[in-house]
Amino acid sequence: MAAAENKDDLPTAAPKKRGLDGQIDVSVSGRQRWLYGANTAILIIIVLAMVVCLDWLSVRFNYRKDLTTGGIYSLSPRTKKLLALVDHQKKRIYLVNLYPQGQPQGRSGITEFLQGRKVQQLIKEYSRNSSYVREFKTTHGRKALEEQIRSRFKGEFSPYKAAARQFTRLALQIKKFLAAEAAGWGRLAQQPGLTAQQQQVALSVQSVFNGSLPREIARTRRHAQKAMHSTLPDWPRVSKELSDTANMLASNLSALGKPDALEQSTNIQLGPAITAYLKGRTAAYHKEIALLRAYRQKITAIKPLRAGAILHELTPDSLLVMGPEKLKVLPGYSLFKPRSASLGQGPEYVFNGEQAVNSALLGMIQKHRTKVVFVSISPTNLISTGGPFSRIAAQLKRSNFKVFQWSPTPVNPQQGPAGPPPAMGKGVIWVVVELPPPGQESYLAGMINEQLESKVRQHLAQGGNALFLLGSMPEQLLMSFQGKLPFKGLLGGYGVRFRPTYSIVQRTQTSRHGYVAMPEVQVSTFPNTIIGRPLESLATLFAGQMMAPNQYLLAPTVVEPLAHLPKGTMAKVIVQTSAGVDTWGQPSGYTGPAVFQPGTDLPAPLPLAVMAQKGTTRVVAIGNVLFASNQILESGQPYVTGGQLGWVYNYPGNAELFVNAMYWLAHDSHLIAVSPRATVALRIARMGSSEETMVRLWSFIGPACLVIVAGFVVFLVRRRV
Amino acid sequence: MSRIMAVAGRELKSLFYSPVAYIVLVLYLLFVGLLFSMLVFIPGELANPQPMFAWNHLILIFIVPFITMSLLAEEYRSGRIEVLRTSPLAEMEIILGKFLGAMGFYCVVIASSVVFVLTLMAFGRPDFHPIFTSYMGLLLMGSMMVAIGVFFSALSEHQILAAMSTCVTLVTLGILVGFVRQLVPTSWFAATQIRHVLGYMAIEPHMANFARGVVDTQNIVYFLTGTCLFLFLTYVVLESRRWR
Repeated sequence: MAAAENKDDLPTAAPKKRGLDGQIDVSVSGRQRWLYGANTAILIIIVLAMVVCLDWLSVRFNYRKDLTTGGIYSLSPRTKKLLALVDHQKKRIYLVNLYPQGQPQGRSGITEFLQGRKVQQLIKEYSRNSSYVREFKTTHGRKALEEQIRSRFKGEFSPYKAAARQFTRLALQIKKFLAAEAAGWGRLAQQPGLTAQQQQVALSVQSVFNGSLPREIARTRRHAQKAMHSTLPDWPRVSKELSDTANMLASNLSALGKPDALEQSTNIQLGPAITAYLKGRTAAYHKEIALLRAYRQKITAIKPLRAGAILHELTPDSLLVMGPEKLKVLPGYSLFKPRSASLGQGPEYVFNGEQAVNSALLGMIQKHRTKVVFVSISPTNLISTGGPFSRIAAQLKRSNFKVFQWSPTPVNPQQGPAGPPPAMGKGVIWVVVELPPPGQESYLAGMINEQLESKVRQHLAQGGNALFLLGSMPEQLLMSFQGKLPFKGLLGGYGVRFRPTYSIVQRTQTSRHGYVAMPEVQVSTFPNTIIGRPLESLATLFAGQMMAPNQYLLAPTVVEPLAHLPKGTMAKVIVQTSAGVDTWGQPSGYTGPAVFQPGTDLPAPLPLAVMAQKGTTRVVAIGNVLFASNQILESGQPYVTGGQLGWVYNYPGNAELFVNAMYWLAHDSHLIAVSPRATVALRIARMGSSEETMVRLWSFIGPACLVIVAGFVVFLVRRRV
Repeated sequence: MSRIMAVAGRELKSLFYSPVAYIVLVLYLLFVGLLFSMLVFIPGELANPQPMFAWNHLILIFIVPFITMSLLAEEYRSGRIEVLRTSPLAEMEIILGKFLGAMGFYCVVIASSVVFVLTLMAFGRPDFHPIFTSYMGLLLMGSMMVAIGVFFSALSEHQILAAMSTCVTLVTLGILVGFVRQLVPTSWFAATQIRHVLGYMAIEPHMANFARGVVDTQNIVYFLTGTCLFLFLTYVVLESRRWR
């Protein structure tokens, strides 16, 4: 503005001066130039300050709008509902980002840094959308956080503190007792009539009562007192020491409390004087022993510290969720799911933070945990360590489910029938593993017994929900059912049809056997359903067990909605194969050449999983027994990055789809894979390699060539004009 | 306004009469075409043009100096600046006219990438909201880049010098600041604040938000204040020539 006002004073309008030669001098004097310069400098400073202020204000009070149709970069409406629930319950919840915030160290450090930034953004989004979810910030780093955690669990420490305090009192009493006893044994040693050996015994006991035992008590008492006055004591270690000392004292006293036993164990004749003394003191000894044992029992009964477990889990790449009553550490692997990558490449991570945080929040505001029962004809271990479904069971536990296992087959038939299921009916989900998993084929001989089916029917009739893991069956097994396929009628009632007579295969070229039909179908197309939609970018595999070329077990099979759904039912395909010519459904047991047979085979796309609902009962049927087994979930490959060996899973989509299905069955749809979220963008159509090359070539040089032609035309036209 | 538009029209016309416009367009289309065919057009993958827009600034950093280098530098060199000054045009009108002329051509450049969006639409169905916000971001980013170019063009009579200075500034804002930010040691006084400031100065994160489909007032303000600041500085430079 100032410059604009000075416009009239600029050289053209400046007062005209006469120079020495009599000509008009239009130049600007040094003083004027200095004034103009200063004026301009001040103006620039003012404008710069205004720009800085505006930018600062825009950072401080920014408004952000996510315009993507699916709202990919903001919290999903489901999460917002959950946050509204948190706000409604007025529960203050803190989120703590433990990822390194400073300068990244090395290549792996950059990954951690970027992941930390993502976690930070997520925390910001949560606190923006809730009045009760806040970020916990501390300027004193991890130590302050540890103190905060300990202060939250201070109630847990009081039994330990009380035990330490009690020990100091007990120690005084015991020491007094030991001193009196030492004096007594000293007097005994000086009594006439004792043999030299008996005198030696009395003096030894006196020295124990006078020296080693009081020394041990004093040491333990010192440690207990130190712990009581310390800010961060290691209570489990201190309590163990207190317990050990009490035990040691009690065993020493109890040895003297039984003179006969002592005589036998030491092989020394104690003599009438010592025996009489000991017998006279037995009651006093027993009193002290009882006191020490009661004290020890009290220490053993103290519950282990939860704060300790939490502090142990706090790693530098995790997110801590602190609720009023509970704390949960979300480790890096639950926040970032690796996508498939080839050998030698670092993994790509899919951010799963929103789902993980939601799960933790739900655990804090919802006390009820849905029960999941894995049901199979095989009574052997399914879900514990070493079981074929242990990995998915662990993931379900992390997602706030309680997981059990049950089989109608008794482990030992001689011990009578199997017990009742641990849970069934309303609010319970059964995972029905139709065929015995690998390694437990011996149970195939027992067939899918009717007891299992009737129990599942009963469970569903009581309002329970179920997920079926179904598979194709070999011919001989099918024949044994005599046309009455297990679960066929049951699933038909929910509008679901499965065709175990067909195996879904994919033609693959191998170096040894040429073209082979493999029972392995990788899926990349998910119809638009609440369960499958979020899996847009995650690799998912449906696979059987290959025995020999064209021979396999437990192959994926067709599961589809019935053409005419029963009244009041809903059934939708959640997964289907792509429409490629290399995938088809062939009769189970077929061992001919790997070629699609138009008459007998089913053409792709083939449905692989269906979700169905009748009333409030929900059913999900997946056409693959091994879908959620460790065999697929653990399939992965190593990679080397930053000099470190890592492991990347090939098919992270399997576990995600399974957990999503469980959330849907549990009527907790607001938790279904909220992140990574689905976009409305459809995939680019698959095409032949020549067509693809053409499009790429056109994209690269086509438009540029058109511009060159246009330029040439303009040049010619202008030349003619 | 009509005088501004007259200057802008003249500038735009002169750009299209020179081979520079076609060279710039060809370079831009080759680069974006490469991005499209390598990162976007992957059959079976999501129809998502985000990488194409997010990395656009890397080529625009080198293209914008070509567009802006002659705006005022050529006027100085040919002496036409005196004619302009003696005309009834105010300094600000000259600057805005030149700026809008260059922006017009810049719009033609970024509009040429629509051909890739159309190709994508032929084989998939992309989400249009992020595409819309990406073009909005490109426009805002371009206005700042062009303003920087106009400023350096006003500083020198030599087009190459103007182009080089613009290029260095844009490379600094577009690429180097991001690297320097990572190099600030944590031991430094106010290291976090320094990193924040450097992070804010970089062009890439601001454009990345638009490319993702997220509109943030912070990003809009960054580009608008940047544009205004450099246009103002150009005005100061032009105006100071009267008394320097």
